[in-house]
Amino acid sequence: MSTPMSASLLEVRNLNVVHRTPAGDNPILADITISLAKGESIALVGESGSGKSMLSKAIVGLLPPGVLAASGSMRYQGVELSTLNGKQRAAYRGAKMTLLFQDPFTTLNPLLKAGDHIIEGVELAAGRKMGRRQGRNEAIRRLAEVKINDERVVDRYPFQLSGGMRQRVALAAALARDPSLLIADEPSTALDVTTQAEILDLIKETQRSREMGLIFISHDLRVAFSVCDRVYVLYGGSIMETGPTVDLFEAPQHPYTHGLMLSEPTATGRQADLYSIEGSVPRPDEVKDRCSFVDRCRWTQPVCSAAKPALETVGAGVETRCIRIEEIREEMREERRAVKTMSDPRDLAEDVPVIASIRDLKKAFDLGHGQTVEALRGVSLDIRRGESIGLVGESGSGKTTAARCLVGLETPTGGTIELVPRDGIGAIRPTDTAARRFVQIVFQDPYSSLNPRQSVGSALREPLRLLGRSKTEAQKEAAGLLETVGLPVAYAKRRPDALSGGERQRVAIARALSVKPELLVCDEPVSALDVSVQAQVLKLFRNLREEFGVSLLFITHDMAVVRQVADSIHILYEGEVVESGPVDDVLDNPQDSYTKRLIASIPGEGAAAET
Amino acid sequence: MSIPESNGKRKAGLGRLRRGPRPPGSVVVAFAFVAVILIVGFFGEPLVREAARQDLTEVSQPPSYEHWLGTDRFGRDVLARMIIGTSTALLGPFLIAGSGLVISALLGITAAYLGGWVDQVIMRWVDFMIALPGLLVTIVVVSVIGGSYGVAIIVLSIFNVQGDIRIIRGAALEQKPLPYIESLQSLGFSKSRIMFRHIVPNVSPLLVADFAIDFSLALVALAGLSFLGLGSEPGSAEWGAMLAENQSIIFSNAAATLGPGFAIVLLAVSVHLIGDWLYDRYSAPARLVS
Repeated sequence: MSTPMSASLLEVRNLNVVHRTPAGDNPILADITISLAKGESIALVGESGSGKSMLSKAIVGLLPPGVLAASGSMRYQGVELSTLNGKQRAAYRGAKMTLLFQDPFTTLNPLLKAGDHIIEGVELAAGRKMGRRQGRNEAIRRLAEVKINDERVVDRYPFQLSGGMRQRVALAAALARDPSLLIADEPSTALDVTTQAEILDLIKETQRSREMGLIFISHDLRVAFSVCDRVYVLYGGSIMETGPTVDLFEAPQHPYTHGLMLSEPTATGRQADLYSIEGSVPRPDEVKDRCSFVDRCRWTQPVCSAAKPALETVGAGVETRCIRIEEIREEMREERRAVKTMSDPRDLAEDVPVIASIRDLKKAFDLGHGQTVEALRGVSLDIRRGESIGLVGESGSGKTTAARCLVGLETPTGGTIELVPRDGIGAIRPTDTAARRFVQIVFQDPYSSLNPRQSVGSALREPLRLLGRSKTEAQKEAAGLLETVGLPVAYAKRRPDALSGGERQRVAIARALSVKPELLVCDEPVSALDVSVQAQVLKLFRNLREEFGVSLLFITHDMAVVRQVADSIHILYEGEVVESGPVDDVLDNPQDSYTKRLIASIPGEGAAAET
Repeated sequence: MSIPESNGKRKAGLGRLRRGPRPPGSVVVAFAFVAVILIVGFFGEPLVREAARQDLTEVSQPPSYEHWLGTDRFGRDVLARMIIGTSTALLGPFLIAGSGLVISALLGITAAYLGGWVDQVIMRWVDFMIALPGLLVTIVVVSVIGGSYGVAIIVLSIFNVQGDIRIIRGAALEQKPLPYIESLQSLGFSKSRIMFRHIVPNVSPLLVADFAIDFSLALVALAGLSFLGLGSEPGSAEWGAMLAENQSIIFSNAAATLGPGFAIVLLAVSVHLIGDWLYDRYSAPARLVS
């Protein structure tokens, strides 16, 4: 590592992690070299399958069975970790290095009070039991460090706390033994946007005030940029590029980082052309003797697949694995400029008819024992033919409930929904049979959206057959649908488990399109996808509108995503629309205080300027 | 949220074949044993009918070259009688487990998917039946109506199905809120289509496992009834009955009573092992390291 740092905390050199099977070793991480100085923060950024979480597990010594660090060295404060036995290694965990996980809902013991989580660690560090009062005071002090100033939280159980509060408690518990290294694995991903910003600030602040080392793991470059001094970009089990945040943000030195950055849609405007990286993330063993990115890189040349390139220094602290970087740097810069071209959202003509009209929609869920929770408190909106409406809100805002009411999966407790199909049968309701050909839905999780025991082709043919198509007609139409969503026709024979997340989502979209709906309800359709794949699917939605004139109700929590696909948006907060209007007006000039807060917490926009 | 993005290209061909590891040795042995039993059950009887005749000159003989498991009190070859009894031993448990599979798929999934009063009616009935002491009722019913194999099968079937219904209902409840089911609902698929074309395949590993467990339990239960002199006509070549009646000659020919006993145990264990393995194999479709 070329970064000259005085006090090194962690040095990983040429680490190889493999999955050992009877058939041989499968590489998971190849030739990883990272260094972290005392008080420094680094980010490991990569999409799923890049090996970023495995690397953190290797560092703390919690690799799953069958997976081991085959070669290389890991030195922590000068001690070679690989020479330690299990017990010595365990003594490091919690005390010297500690982990903060993604999901605050499962990382806390549901039977322990918030305070107990912290006291347990503090007592371990002190090596003695604490008195009740003393322990409680210490827990309160520690909670104050993570900005929980309400003393009563000490006595609360995890289920009584919100997601953000839980993550704070988890952080306080992780810090209870005053470690010198914090490894945070996607600590804000499971949280709402506004909470996410707070947690990120908190982690950054705590790291600085404690002068801890921080390894921040994220799939989101913008988030990583906003938190860390230096970034390592992982892909297919190797480090593709590393450098100081500012340099990377300005000019990435590897086509993958470059592509990843461009794939992230911006919230500041509607990009004329969405950038996407075709294909999907490879497995480390598929790319073990060539550049990991070779199949998806637009600058690939034969030399790229000849051997695995080594990390080369190309600037102060900047290293890249791209061997063609000198030749393509200018082209990359040109591309970055082009992507910034914005276009205006579509303006619909005034006389376009309304095809779905929601009036004063209410939905209360019965919790039993006479308690109800109001998910929707009177929502009204109109969807016109060919229009794309964004419905934006955080969890609990009622956005999913509204979607489910619209497709008839949920029965509203008040208000009306009128759907007006093109063929002039008059207004119908979502629960009517005729509505099944009018409105369709695409869900968030591509992994459970398809019947795992049904082939793609069969899933697409089935609705067509039920509409009365003959076998050959259905087959032909199914092939056409696959083409529409950009999948090879041969995919018809595959089962869902042979598809990647993005591909599954395309199949789910194709299935929804099979009945030629006039309105497509999309419930967070890209939020479970990797960034590079997300852009592909967003592009698909744009195309669908243009080709088929289908109207979209696009539900999301992501301002950048909604900016790219919607003409107008409605901001939903606690079951009510707090602001609505054309997407540009609302996002550029928000009026409501909640909308303002939502926009202020978008990560990364101008974050590099801050660092 | 981030979910492993798998590369589909390679899994499609090889991955599907490789899915699940090769069966362990115990399962291979179990498969072989069940195969032998099946062959014997289908084709064995005509071959050994002659040897199963009474021969009062050779009663209670220990195992020998002519009689591998010796003879019983009437000089009948024990192995021959066991072979004749094989088809009965298979048929009863097969019918009981089979009815359990069909009924639990029908009622369990219906209860889960439709919910409401349908669920209430089915499940309260299940609760009621589970509260009854099954074996006791079976013994009473069979001894009152008379010891016929058919009656035993029917009564055991009725008492067997409740547990299956509960299990399948639970599994179907897990599937019901998944997006793929809701997508089908919004596509306008009929309830019965969703239940039996889409949910059934997804709970099928459980159905298979249930079948195997039911089969072994029914085998043992039927043998137990025969042992008590219920559930089979006196003198019929039935494993449980043979186990009981040959006890009296245990000191002259122990094989006459141990043979049927081992056959029951080995068949029950084999079917169980196979069911367990099938469940593991088919309920974990994506076991490849991602």
